[in-house]
Amino acid sequence: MSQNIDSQHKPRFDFGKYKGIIISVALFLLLDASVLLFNFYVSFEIADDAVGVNLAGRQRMLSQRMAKTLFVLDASRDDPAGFKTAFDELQLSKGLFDETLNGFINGGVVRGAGKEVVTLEPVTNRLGKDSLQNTLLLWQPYKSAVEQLTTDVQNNLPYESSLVAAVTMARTHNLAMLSSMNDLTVSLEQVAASKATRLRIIQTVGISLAIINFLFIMFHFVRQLRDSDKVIEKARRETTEILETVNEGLFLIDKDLILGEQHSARLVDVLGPQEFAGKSFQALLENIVSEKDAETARGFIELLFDPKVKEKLIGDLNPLSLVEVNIAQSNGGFLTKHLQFSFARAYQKDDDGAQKISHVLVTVLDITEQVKLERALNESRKHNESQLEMITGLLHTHPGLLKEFIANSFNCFNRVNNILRQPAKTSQAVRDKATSIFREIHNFKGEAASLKLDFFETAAHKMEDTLALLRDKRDLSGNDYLGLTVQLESLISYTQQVEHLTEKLGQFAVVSSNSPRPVNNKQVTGSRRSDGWEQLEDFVQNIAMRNGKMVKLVASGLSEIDLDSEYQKKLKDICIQLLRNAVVHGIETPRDRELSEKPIVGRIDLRLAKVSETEMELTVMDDGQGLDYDAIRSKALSSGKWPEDEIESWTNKHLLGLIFHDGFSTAAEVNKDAGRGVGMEAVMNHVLAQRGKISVSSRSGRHCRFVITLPIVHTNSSEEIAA
Amino acid sequence: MSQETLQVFIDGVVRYFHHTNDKDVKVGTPYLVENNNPAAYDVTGIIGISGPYRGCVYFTAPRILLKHLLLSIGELDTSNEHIFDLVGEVANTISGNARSRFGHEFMISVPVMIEGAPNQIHLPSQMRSYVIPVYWKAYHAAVVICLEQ
Amino acid sequence: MLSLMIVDDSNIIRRKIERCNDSDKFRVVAAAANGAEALELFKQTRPQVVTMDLTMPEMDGIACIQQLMAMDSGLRILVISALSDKATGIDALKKGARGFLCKPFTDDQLLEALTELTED
Repeated sequence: MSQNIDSQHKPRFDFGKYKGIIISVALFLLLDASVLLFNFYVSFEIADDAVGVNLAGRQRMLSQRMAKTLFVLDASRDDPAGFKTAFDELQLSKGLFDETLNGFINGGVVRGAGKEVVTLEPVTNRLGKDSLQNTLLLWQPYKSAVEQLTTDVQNNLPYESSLVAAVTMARTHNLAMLSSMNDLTVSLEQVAASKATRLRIIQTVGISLAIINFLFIMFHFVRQLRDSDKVIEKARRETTEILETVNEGLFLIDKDLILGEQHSARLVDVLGPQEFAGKSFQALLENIVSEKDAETARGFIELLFDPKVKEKLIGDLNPLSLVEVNIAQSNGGFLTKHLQFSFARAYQKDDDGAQKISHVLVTVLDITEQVKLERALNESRKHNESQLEMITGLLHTHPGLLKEFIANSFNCFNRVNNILRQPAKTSQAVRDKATSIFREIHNFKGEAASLKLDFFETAAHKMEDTLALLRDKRDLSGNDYLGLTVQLESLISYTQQVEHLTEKLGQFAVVSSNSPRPVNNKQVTGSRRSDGWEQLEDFVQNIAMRNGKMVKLVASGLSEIDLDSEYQKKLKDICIQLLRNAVVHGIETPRDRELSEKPIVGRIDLRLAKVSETEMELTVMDDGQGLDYDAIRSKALSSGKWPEDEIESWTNKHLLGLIFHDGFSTAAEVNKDAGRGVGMEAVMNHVLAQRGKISVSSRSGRHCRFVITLPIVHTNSSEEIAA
Repeated sequence: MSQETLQVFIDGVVRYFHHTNDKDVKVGTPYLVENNNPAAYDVTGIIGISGPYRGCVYFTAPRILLKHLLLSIGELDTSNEHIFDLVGEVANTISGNARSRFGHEFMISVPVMIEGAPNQIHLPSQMRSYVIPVYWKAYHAAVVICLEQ
Repeated sequence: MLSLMIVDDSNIIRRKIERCNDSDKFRVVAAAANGAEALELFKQTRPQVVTMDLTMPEMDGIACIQQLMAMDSGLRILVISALSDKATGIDALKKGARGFLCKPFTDDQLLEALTELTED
């Protein structure tokens, strides 16, 4: 899968799209600038005009002052001080007037009002020119008269006549000159006013144009922007909609393995709420996968950014194609999810139009349901297979017997578990548990063997192995029992499976036999007696076969006496033990029998008989080699439990007692059928507990006979026995 | 579940007691209980496990043991709060030990402390748990392990 | 027609890959059982395409890829290996191989992978 995402992240600068707006803005600025420039220019001109107007005004004032000083001179001929002041003022006024008038006519430098120097341009407007011309005409004689007066006064000549002439000039010319200067002022004011008006018009026009331009920009481009915004918004909405609705967790990562800004809503459900944007992918994987896998994932993603590597040819290397995630819950438990990460290159066109890998699109799928389903399927397939195996193993066993066996097994397991449960703080107490459990398991094994339930027998045997190690271990502690408990647990689990299966098979049997009344479990177990003993035949043959012997079991009287079921079970355990001994230790191999000229098939008699109303007698007799006292003696020697000379002095009867001793067996090696030396002790314990008797007789090479006398315990007194 | 796995959790508890003044802690013979009848004393610290095995492991002890334990580590304040903290610490030691032994393969939660026995959330009812009795001084406590593959 | 060199220590796999001779796209020009042999044969035959096993005696695939790339950086290498260790596979691609095919594979899968490998 390969996505081509036209990303909006880095669009190439598109001049064409923005040309309109740029020209408009440039125009706007140009317009503003030119109005500003013009404004500058005109306002300087207006400032110059203002100087002209001022000076023209001053001419009016100067002509008045000249007239006034002439009159003062005339009046103060007798006052030399007043004369002198008026004379100086006349000189000054005359000079300024003349200089300014010249300035107006020809242009030039003129002293301003505050003694500063200003430059005047020649006046060009017609009214101004005319009035200046008039003034000049008037001023010429006036000026000469004043100059004549000046010369006379300065040379201390009589000035009467020249003063009179100047005063006359002032009288005749002053008003006309004043009016001409007034005209000049007005003309200059008019020019300035017209310039200001022009400036206002231009400003108004410029600003209006700028406003129009601005409005154009506003309306035109805002609409364009709005349109393109709409397009973007629509695209964004679509993207959002996609991201909101897809069923996968989606996000992009860049070359530096940093997550993109957007992700699908589903991602939060899949990975849990957190801040995704800008997070590093490694940080995201933290607590999800092992460090090693996260590292491998990083390598994998780097491959995707390498354009030389073929995307289609590396899918198998994805280390996150199936990830089990454990999310800690507040209650201390874990929520387990199965996630599938897939990665795909996302391309982007670069400036040359070539495709470039810009991102990797990550898809996260929660496939917990699929995985669970698949596992359940596998589980049930496996389960079916093991069930099939179990069925074949169980088929040969009578369902009733099997049910009984299962019930007994659970009882046995409970007893074992209870033994384990008892607090035991002394090491002796801990050690005793091994012995007690051994007895239980040994009986269980016997029963399993009698039903040819190999699995149970093997499991029990292994537990016996464990127990044997425990018994011999120095400094035995409770912890050492752990292995045994694990074995017990697995045996219980297995038994439960068998139970489950037999229940199913039982239902099947009910249906298939179309039985009018449902078979009750209890009834099945109740009907066991006649069958219960029959399994002993199988048991004997089974052991004989395993030990390479040929045996015929002749049983009698076993079903004659009505016994309590628990009690009968114990009796059966005794039978199993004695029969096992008879086959393993008593009956010789066919070859040995042939050599001793005996029938090849050995014979074992099993008899149960009432000897009184309250007592019964169990006899187990084989026609084998008889008790091997030498073997017992050498076993006793090798056990090291007794001094050598003492053993040598023991009688056969004493030696016989040893076979009931804890942990004593003459079998050469430990196998399923013999060698533990616990069986006979268990028999003895049981008999003693019931206040019974055991007698043994044996003749070398001929036979061995065990006769056990026990009280009869009927069905209705079970409570007493169990206690 | 393998014996080795169980042993790791037992070691965790023993390790904790070895840090105390009275190191004489004994482990009793492990036995089984059905989860519908879980074994528990007064206070229980649970850690959740996930990975190849999943389920929980908890340390449970009677208050009197915990008070005595607090005193033995020099803590004179035997309030409920401290008792819970202590159980949490034992549970933490168990999980720390498990972490160092199993590595990243296992996910182990932070301990949760409760009074009495854990509920169904922690213990699938159709399963059995291993109970490993722990004897310290005259008291009984236990590590209970319920894990499925 | 592209020239192809097979590098794999299993002769069964080698024979299997040789079957792509049947297509008219590839011609097997050399087959090596280990990295060292591959380098030697590469110098003689200068193939355009290489299929590379990763776990081999003498010189393993990763080292071999590195040396081959040093001789011809444009060489197209397809790693053919089992999926026991993805990190090693990724390492091989980082050293210059361009694709990965998981064992076991069918003839079609191989041909498809080689075609994809040699495109553009």
